[in-house]
Amino acid sequence: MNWFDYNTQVVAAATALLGAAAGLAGCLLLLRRRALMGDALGHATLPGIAAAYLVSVAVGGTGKEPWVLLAGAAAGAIAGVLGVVLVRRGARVSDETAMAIVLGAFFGLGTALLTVIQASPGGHQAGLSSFILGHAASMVASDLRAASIVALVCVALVVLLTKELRLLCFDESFARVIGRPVRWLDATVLIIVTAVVIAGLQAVGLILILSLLILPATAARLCTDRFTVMLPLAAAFGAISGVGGTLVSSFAPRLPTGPCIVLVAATLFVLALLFAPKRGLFAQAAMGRAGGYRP
Amino acid sequence: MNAWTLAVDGWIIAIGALGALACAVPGAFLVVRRTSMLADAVSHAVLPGIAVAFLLSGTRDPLWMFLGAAAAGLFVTLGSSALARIARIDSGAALGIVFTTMFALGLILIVQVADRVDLDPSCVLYGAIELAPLDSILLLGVEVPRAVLVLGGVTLLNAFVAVIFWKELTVMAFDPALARTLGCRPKLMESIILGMAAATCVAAFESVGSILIVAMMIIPAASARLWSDRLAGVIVGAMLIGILGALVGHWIATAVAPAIIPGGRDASSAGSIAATLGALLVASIVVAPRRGIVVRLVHRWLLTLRIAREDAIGLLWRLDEDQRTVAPAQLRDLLVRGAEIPNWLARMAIAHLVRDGRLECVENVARLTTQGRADGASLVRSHRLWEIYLMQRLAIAKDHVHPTAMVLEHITDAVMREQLAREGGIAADDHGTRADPHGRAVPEVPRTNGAN
Repeated sequence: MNWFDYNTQVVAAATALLGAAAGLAGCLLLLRRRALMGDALGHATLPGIAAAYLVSVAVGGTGKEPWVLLAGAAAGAIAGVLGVVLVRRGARVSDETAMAIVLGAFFGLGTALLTVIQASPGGHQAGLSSFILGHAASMVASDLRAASIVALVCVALVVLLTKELRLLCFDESFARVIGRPVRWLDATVLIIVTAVVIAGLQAVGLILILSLLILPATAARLCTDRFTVMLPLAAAFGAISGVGGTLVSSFAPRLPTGPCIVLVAATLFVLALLFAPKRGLFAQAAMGRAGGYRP
Repeated sequence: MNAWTLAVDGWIIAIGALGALACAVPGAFLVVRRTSMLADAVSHAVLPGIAVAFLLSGTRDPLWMFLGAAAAGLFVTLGSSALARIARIDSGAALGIVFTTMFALGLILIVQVADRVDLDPSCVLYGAIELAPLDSILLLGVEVPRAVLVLGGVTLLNAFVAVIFWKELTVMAFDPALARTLGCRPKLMESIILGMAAATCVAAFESVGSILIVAMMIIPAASARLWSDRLAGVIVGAMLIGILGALVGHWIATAVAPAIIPGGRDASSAGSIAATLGALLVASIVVAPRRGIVVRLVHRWLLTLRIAREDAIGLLWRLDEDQRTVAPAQLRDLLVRGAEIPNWLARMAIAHLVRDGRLECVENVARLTTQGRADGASLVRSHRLWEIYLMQRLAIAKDHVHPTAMVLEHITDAVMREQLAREGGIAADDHGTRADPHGRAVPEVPRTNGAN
């Protein structure tokens, strides 16, 4: 495979759009201090996918229609979000504990269903387990279309709601006091994240989607203190990771695309950590001599 | 599905149960310390650890794999807290960055070595609890699975550490600031907790899989937290819940799943155990004593009924004060309109009062009994003392004190009532001569057994 190849171009375009959308969604998660929500959501899609396959086969379908599986993934992710909220309230545990609980229980259920499916006739060819680690190389034009629609919707939502989301991220109680619909905004953030997770299942899989959500956003956070700069910066980092990872994996025959995208994103993060103005390690060391940086 | 055989299913359940025992101690501390996602991070990060160990050693020897996994676990624990500190980012975000990057690296490394050795990433994720009994060691003439020995050793080690540092760990878990002032070395204790968690994850991932580790470490501890307020209780409860989960989960995987899902094959035991633990948590949320939903609903309902009964008694006592009488049906109407109580609840409250001998209905007139009058007097006394207090001490306007007193009268006991009387400057032998802000006398409570 080389990068002039039509297939590589399709994959690069799809992962770039996905990376941009994930960068935007990640900023919201990061600033809401819920970075690991992406992990709980990602793992929670698995039982949804498996259940959608079982239902589709039961009603006479093939179980391979992509939209059926993605609808199942969405249902699983939404159930996961509700699970986090209900467990946090019902068991009175911290956000993080509720996420770990949902992640463990949902993924366990998913693997149990998956083993049953893979033992059933035709189940092994359904390729459900490819959602776990992703299979970007086999993305086709229709996947590109789906990814770009999701990415555009996410971008549009974030741009339209920038002011409200900024208020939500930085001063939730003030937003509530001046009458902003905080609950709905919170739900919107989670819907955007869910959409990105589902769009990213095929490219990077449900485990690595977490890194696509938080690496570009954290890198952007290191580079700037302004929300309106952080958003486009994170989107750009995400897009660069998508294209870069796809190209890197297309040069060598045995580099899986998803992990390559993550490693490019991680490289960008390390560069930001070292060289960012003000918050970067070099800048901090320089300012340390001049009296120190107080964030 | 065949009948269970002790040699296979017995060992699988034993491994699951031992995993639960090993996870209970670090799990309880992680839940109390609110750092639960560490279990997830460590269990994903072992993948590059074992891949690097294979590249370095060229063997799949368990010792090398364990060393690689342990190094990776240590790296993710220390690395993420160092990253959070130097980059000044949220600890959750730092954890996510370190472990997903390591996982991606691990996937790439494993693909590179894939044709030389069968290292399966999905084995790390789901574990191979079904195959664990096959890998056994002869011990005292009995074939014992290696996983049983490893998990048993980790359980003993965790129990040993917990017993030695019990006081320090407890103080650290609940109040790090106090721990520092008492000289309990909170930093060291924190490292011990994280080290225990990481070591348990590393030791257990091979047999039970990384996802089940997360479930086994966090879910039983969070469930047990609903049943007990004591750390030791949480740990023991987590052990029991974990063992129950292993038993029921394996039964569902091998007996229930094949029966209900077409295809008739066993489901993954690790996955089923994790899902069962989730179901046990939901059950705990519903039925746990004191914190459970059922108990909370019952408490709320009993409170609602008590307030309705007290409103009925107070209403009748005030009517009696004005020498008015009402029929039971009228009393109900007054409650529905005046105290905004639903009709069925008013009916029920009146029936309860009649049954308890507080209220009698003679010739279609509702009348308080002696006991009922005593209850009414103490309630109205509380109400009027509160009105005096609110006006005198909090300078609330005369026409605003009634609604607040309506609420406070229900939560005032005899001791608080007499304190209110003292604060309001009313002597104990006042005999009902003082008036409330609306000119009504503050009644005495007649001497009977048992008041409000």
